[in-house]
Amino acid sequence: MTRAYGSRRAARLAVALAAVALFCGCRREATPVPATGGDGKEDARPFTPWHARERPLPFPQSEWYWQDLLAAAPAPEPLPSEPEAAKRLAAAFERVASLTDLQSEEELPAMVADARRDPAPLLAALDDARREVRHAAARIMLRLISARRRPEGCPFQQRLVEAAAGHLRDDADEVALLHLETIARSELPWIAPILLKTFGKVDNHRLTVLRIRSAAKLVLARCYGGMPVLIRALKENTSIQDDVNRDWDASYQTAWWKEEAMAAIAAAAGSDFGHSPDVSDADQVACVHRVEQWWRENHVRLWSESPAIDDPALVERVKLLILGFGTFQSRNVDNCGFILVGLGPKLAPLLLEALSGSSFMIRRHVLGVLTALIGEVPESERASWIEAVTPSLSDRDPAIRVRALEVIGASRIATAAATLEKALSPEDVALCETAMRQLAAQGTREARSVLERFASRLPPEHLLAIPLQAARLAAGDLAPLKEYLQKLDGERGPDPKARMYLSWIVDADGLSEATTPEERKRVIAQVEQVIRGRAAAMKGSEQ
Amino acid sequence: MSRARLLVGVALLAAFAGFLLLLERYGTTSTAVAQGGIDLTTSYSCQPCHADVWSEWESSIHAQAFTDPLVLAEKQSNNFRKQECIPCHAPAPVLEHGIGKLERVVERVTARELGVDCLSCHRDEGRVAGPAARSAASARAPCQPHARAELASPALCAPCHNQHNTVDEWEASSYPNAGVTCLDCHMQPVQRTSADGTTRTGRSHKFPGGHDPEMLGKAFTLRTEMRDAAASGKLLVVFVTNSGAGHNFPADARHRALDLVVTLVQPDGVEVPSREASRPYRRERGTARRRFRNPYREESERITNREQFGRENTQILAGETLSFEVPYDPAAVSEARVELIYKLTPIQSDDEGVRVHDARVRL
Repeated sequence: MTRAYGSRRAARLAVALAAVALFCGCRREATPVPATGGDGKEDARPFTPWHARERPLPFPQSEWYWQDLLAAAPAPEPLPSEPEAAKRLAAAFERVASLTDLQSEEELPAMVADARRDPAPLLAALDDARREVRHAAARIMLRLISARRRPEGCPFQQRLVEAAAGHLRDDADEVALLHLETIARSELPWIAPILLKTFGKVDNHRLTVLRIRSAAKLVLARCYGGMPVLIRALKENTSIQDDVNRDWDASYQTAWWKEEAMAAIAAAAGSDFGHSPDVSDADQVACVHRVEQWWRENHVRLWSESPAIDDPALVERVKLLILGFGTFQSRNVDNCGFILVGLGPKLAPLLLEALSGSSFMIRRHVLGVLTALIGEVPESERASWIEAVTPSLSDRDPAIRVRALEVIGASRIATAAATLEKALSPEDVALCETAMRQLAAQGTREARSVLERFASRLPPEHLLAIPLQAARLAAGDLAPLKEYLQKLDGERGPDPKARMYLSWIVDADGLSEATTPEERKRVIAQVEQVIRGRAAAMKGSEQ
Repeated sequence: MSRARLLVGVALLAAFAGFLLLLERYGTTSTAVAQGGIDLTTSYSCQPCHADVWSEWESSIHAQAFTDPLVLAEKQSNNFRKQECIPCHAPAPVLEHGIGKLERVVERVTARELGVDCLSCHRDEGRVAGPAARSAASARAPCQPHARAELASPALCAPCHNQHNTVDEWEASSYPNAGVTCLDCHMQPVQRTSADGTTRTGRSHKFPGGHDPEMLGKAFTLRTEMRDAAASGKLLVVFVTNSGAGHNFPADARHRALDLVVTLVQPDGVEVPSREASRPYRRERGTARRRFRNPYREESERITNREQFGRENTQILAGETLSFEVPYDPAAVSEARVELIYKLTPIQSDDEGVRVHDARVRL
């Protein structure tokens, strides 16, 4: 080979490489990336596919009751007006104010008749300062709504539901419970979000029995968003009680709550699983585990058999809830995510459509809802969800990319593993850590291999080294166990980072309560036992 | 120059251009942000140059936001298994997701153990934001900070702290008109020495608040008064004034509680027990107790004036005085012990709380 020939060859090679480099550079540049950094910056798209961005978000942004918003009837009926009836009804409420509840029962039939002719005094009575008046009004409303299926009918049921939903925070428990009953008895499709909002969080101020009863009503209507609350209720006053049980939740009504919960579960399952609040703790725990097992095995089927979400009023509410993600709604206690999750996976078309909106916050929350719901649909349907969220993996904002990967990881289907492995790159630490966590949750042999391969490439002092160890342990690979446990048992207490990622591996670690080195050693030994047991269980289920 | 060399040169240039395009593209999508050679992926990068600030911050509750055992406890965040707690306890840079009362924080994925860290407040679209008044030294700093006046504004604190309405409460008080902002109490001036030896006034990053007994002591004043009551009885009236906090006291609607415990003592030293029912709060001792707190209200309800308070909300507005009456029989008791106990969570016992006032009153 001559020198000239060699130069020409090198030059051709260089040109070819340069062309490839330019091509690659230009191709990456041409990849469609949503032009949103923060909340819709440089983006002309509407907030959601259904809401123009020119209009400001219609919600008060820091003072807000979802309950009140959802209470508003979509098509409130005109109310009849008959001054004589109104006068009689108002006078009757005045009499009722000085009667006992039992005495006032005698007044109610006539009051119901007058309320049919002119309900204005009835609705006004809901705000009366006297409990007796409000209680009588709530009883009248229940009678009116219950006549819905009888010949006399209920001419203004939407108005009644609206009024009841707007007064679910009544100070008197018995009044609030009657309002809940009125709402549920209407059987209107758009009441589901109202009921879901009622038990949004276990530790809010709401009357516990109201929350559990709301959940039960939903399950009886085949909306299974209430099921987790019912299962939590069954755990009350047992050794596996959830965080429902706090000092201020202590109640003599616990057995009643459990009966309410089991009645709804039994209606869905066809069995009460041998429930009794009077048997030993071990028997009650065994019962709860049977219920949980049944739910794990049947939730996808039950959700697939649940009614479609196609009622126009309900669809409008869902869109409004999605729009609400763009307002001051960050935490579970005050955002509407749990309501959408509670409505179930049949929301998917609306949620996926919402991903095409401009609002960063809306897309971020919607992806969170999809993560919670993707496990509720049959595996055969999950691929189409993944396809719909995949473009979000290229979003400019890391928070969106992370959330999109969480949806894909939560699908637990084989094709998702490839996407997770691809995301295992220290180039994008947030996405990489999310991929590790998702692979850990898969807990399969393949996931362990992927994580092990990545561990061989990652420098030991890398920012992601500890989460990677946690991920491997969570996936059932015990190789990093010794080193990880040493980090928990340092001279100055547990390494905060190792402690932090322990939440990937065990449900509760007990380290907060371990105040002495001896206690910590004991707790760490328990943690080790749990990790080993978990790994053994994973490997056992693979054989 | 031979044609081949020219081709190689052109090719190298083209390859470099392609490389730049790739870098630019990946640069915007990666979380590994670099500024002036400083990796802004995590706040660990700030420590070498800002050791003094780092040390202050490290002692602050902001630094412990994600690792504080109290927060990690099972009945609190349960080691952050309650994911809604994460955004405020490990926030991604607030300047990148919007500041002000109407904006919200987004959770950070990486290095959450640092809690509310340097970059939570100072990273701004991949660069470093510094205070408006910059020294010549800061202009030459490797991280090349640019000025953002909002760093000194309550708007920066609001995405987290107004989730508990603290900024709303401050706005409703007389403090804004007096020109007193969050920084005046929670980031007090300190003298700093720059790398070039010059001194300047900076702001402390210790962020004292409800975890600091000294701050708690400044928040209130307490006085007592004896009055005649019906028949031969008397009343011990305890007045608690929010005289120092520019927001409701105790702040933070969900967690903090302030218990006023009055224990009547007989001449023989025996304490008069309580006759009140024990629900809804755990009560341990004392003849009478009042809790200043807003325990169960809807999360998003704004409470900025007394008329809006629900009957359960007993937080003390900025500048407000609330009183508590304890009836006693002057023939049966000789003195009263008056305690004010601040609790980080409402389920803490009296001994777990901080006794911010403890005095005996002759009756």
